[in-house]
Order: sequence, then structure tokens, then C-alpha cells
Amino acid sequence: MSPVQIKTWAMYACLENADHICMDISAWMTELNLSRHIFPLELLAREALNNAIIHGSQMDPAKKIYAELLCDENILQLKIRDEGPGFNWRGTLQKDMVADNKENGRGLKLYQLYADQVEFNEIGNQVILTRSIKD
Amino acid sequence: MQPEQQDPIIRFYKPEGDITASSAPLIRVDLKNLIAEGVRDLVIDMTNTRVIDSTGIGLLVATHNSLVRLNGKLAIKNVSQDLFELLKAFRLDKHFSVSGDPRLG
Repeated sequence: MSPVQIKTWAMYACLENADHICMDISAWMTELNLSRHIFPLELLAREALNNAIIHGSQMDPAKKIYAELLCDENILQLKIRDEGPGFNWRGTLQKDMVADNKENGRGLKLYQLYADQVEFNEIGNQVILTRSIKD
Repeated sequence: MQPEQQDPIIRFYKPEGDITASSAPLIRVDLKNLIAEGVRDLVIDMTNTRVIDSTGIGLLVATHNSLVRLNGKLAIKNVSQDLFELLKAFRLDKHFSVSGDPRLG
């Protein structure tokens, strides 16, 4: 693999587009011989894209979402940005694990389970999820 | 005369693919219809399911909650190792049966 590889996407905020990006990511991971990282990376991408579409863009198909995936020999780094106003990510990240019988509220916990580093910009309309791939 | 004790209706349901924010609304309708038809023991076969996102997990929890309220139960079978670990991380295996694909050993 060359030192750093980057792939970018721009899409309108609808869930079908998120499916296409996830398929693209999966194919690219296979191409880069990183198949064992497909499941965690696809899950992180789905959550981040879902959040950007559903919460960040309020499902408004006129709004755009920007995605970038960076791969090098040590990390996979996913950056997702939407055009929404952001959210109080500090408060949400500090919350405890959601009650088992609750039907929602697991998205950010999922970031913490599958990414080694979770970063937001100040207003919370961009997330950067970094996963180490060094054995 | 005592009414006969009837066995709860058991049904298997196999999604065609992943259970995610884009597919969950249709799967939710299917599962609600099954429960409305009287199904109380529901087995979801994950043979064709590779990914379940947080919306999909929420759908499984909602289905479990609905069945429990009706004295029924949910079971998930043929999950991949990755999905098993995901569901276990959210402790769902403590609330309903989650079993792996026997082909994985």
C-alpha cells in the first residue's frame, strides 16, 4: 500500500446514498487487502452517515454530506461532515451506556466501541473516527 | 369446560440483507404484522444479514419489548461472529437468545 490513500464522496442527504458509500468503502477495503476491517469500518461509516442524514440534515435531500476515508499503514480515518447546526456532542459522549431495553441512543456508543479515537469539531457537525490497523 | 391451552405461534423470519436505517422501516412493518397475526415466539434468521446498525439494534429491542409484553419471546439465530460480538457488547444476549451460524463452529 502506498503511504497515504484518500477517497472522498459528496452526496445528498438520503439513506440510500449512505448504502452506496458503504458498498464503495467495502469494495475499496477489499482492494487494499484490508478485508478484516470491513465490518467495523462499515459500521462506523453507517452510523456517522445516518447521524449526518437523520439528525444533522433532518433528512432534507437538498442538504449535502461530505465523507472522506484516509488509509495508511497504521490507521483508517473516516471524516463525515454535514451542513447542519451541529449538536452538544460533549454531553452526549459523557452519557452512560443506554438502558438495555431502550430502543435508541446507541449510535455514539457504537463509535466508541469500534473507533480508537472519536473527535468532533467545535459545533458538532463533523466527526472524525480513527481506527488503528497496526497488528 | 376449560379452554384448550394453545401453543404460541412460532414463526421464522429471514431478512434479505442488512438491518440498517435504510432497510429497517420495511422490516419493522413485517415484524409488526407477524406480531399482529398472533406470532408470539419469533425467530429471526440472520443468514443473509452482514451488518446491523444502531437503528437495526433498536428494531430488535423494540420487537423483543413487544413480544415480552405479550408473554412471547424473540430469538436470533445464524449470526456471524462480528454480529454476535456487536449484540453482546450491547448486552442483548442477556435479554434474548442469540446464536451463531453453526457453519462457523
